[in-house]
Amino acid sequence: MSDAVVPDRTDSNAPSVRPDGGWFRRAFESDLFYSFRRSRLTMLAAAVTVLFFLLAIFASVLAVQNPFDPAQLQLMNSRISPLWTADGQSPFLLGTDEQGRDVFSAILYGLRISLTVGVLGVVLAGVLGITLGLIAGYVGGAVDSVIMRIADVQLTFPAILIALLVNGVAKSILGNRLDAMSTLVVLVIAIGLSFWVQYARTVRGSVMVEKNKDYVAAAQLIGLPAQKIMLRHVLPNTMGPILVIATINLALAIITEATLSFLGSGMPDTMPSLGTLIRIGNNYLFAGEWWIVAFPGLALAGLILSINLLGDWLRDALNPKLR
Amino acid sequence: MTALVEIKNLRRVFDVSKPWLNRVLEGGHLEFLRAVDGVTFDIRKGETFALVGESGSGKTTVARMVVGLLPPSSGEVVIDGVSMTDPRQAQARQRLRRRIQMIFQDPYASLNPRFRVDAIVSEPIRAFDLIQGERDIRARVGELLSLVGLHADDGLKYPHEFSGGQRQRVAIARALASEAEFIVCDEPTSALDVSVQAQILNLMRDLQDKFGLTYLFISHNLAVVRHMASRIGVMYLGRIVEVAEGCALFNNPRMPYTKMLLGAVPDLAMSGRQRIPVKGEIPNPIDPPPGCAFNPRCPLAFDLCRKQLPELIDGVACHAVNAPAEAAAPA
Repeated sequence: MSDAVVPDRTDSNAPSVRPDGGWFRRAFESDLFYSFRRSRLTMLAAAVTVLFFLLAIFASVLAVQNPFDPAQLQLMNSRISPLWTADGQSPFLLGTDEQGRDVFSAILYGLRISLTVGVLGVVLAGVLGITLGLIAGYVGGAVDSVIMRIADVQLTFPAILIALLVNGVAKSILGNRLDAMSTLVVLVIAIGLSFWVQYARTVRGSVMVEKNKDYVAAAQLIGLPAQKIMLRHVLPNTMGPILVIATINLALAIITEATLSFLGSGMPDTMPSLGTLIRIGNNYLFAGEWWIVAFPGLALAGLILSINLLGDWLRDALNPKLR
Repeated sequence: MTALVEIKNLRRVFDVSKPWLNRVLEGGHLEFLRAVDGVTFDIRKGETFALVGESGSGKTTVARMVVGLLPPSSGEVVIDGVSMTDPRQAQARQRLRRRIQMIFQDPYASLNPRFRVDAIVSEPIRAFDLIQGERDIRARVGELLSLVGLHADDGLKYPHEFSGGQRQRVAIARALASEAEFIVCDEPTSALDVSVQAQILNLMRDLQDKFGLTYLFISHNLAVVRHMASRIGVMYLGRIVEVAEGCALFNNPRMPYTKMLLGAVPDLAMSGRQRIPVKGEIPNPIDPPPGCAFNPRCPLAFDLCRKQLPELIDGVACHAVNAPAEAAAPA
């Protein structure tokens, strides 16, 4: 019997070298990073996304004026065409709009608002959806039925409709007191409330698979409370698909915000997001001032495209069936 | 030898009926599956009690009820004088939890893939507050890992870096971490390579000798059971049909079902011993046959077997064994 304590290295394919070097090295050597390096398109998309985030973060350094500050705008400078055209004027790289607002600066600041609303909206939807999905999946029974029926009903309405509804309600309650900052909060809430269902459904599905695995039983055996088991054991094992949804939803949330702003129930003209800029520019399109709408539109399209490409790659990379 | 674990008339019924709305609309009635139906046995301190039986005989359900993962429909599990079911003894049960552990069948599902091995092994230590201080916990984890034949440094790895046998060693280390005395092993080797099975079984026996562990050992593999068990209970369709000492059961099986099971074990020596061939399949537990559940497959079945459920008398539940006079009489 003494041979029993000899480790069964014979059936081992585990490396005998210690996986040292911390999480950075581990991340660098991971499958995910490998598939990232193999796809040029993904690397390009990631670079563009990072670029947009950097532009938004350093907007105040890069912009020639603060487009939200009316004191810095001069009507004398209105409707100047882009720099490379015959009527272009320095320092207005992409021209100006009818209020003398530099389009490039407005895009940078608008990007900031669009990304803030998008990220916060996705975070709110994620927290809401993950919490409800986790509870529905783990507790089951009547609680599960109630949460998931609410989700089903909500799914029958398009997300934009729910966002419009939340916006409309907030507007009628707050009326004139609704300034730019509180509009931003309302937008985040509207987006959060319209996108949580997808998270809840995905998490619930994964939780129902994971909670029947024996490592959960082992945790129950030592008397851990249910919420600790949910948060420490089950939740981390459901995060793969959530990451994919969050990425794709970020693009969707930005588009939703842009749509709301384009329709006039989003960010006001005094603090424009990309959608607001497109709406303003739209009025001047047939007057020949194409740059007011074209550049914000291009920025939005580029941002959405690269985030979506990242999401697609992530979905494929995390899907074991496609490997 | 005193009984550490007493299982009294344990019963578990699963509701397998369709949802209420479907029943109302499509017809059909309530259906219940009796997974475990009146199981009684006890396990003495320091012994290995094995439960054997075909798939669907209720072995795993018994195991889950014994450790308290599944509430029984009726009956009682008493471990060291504390009831696992009585709500009044909740506090005593909480203290008892530390002394009960389980080793699961599938080592690929029983270790959380997101936890490092040291976190997995130290979780019971932290949950029961057995050791204070990070350094002492780490030392204890290293000690446990070397106890089960792994390297102390293996704690830094993730479960996916190990083979099935090594993972089962990690699971054993986790079971030992809380200084458990009673370990329920639910087919601990059936997911492993034959060559690794023996190593794991020997490890479990060594640990039993070292720490005086008591095992409830669930298996469908008779060779494994023969190697491990001091006493054996044979289960058929949620009931225990025969209980005997290990060698007695193998040398002198009494219940026809046990004979059939033993007859099915491959025999390298080709000894030519008499076998009862396996015939039929385990019946549907939703609608078990009347009388003794084994009667449709039993070569000795007679009238009484189809009418009356046999009691477990002197370790056997079989009319043909317990009342041979009636069996001989013409039906």
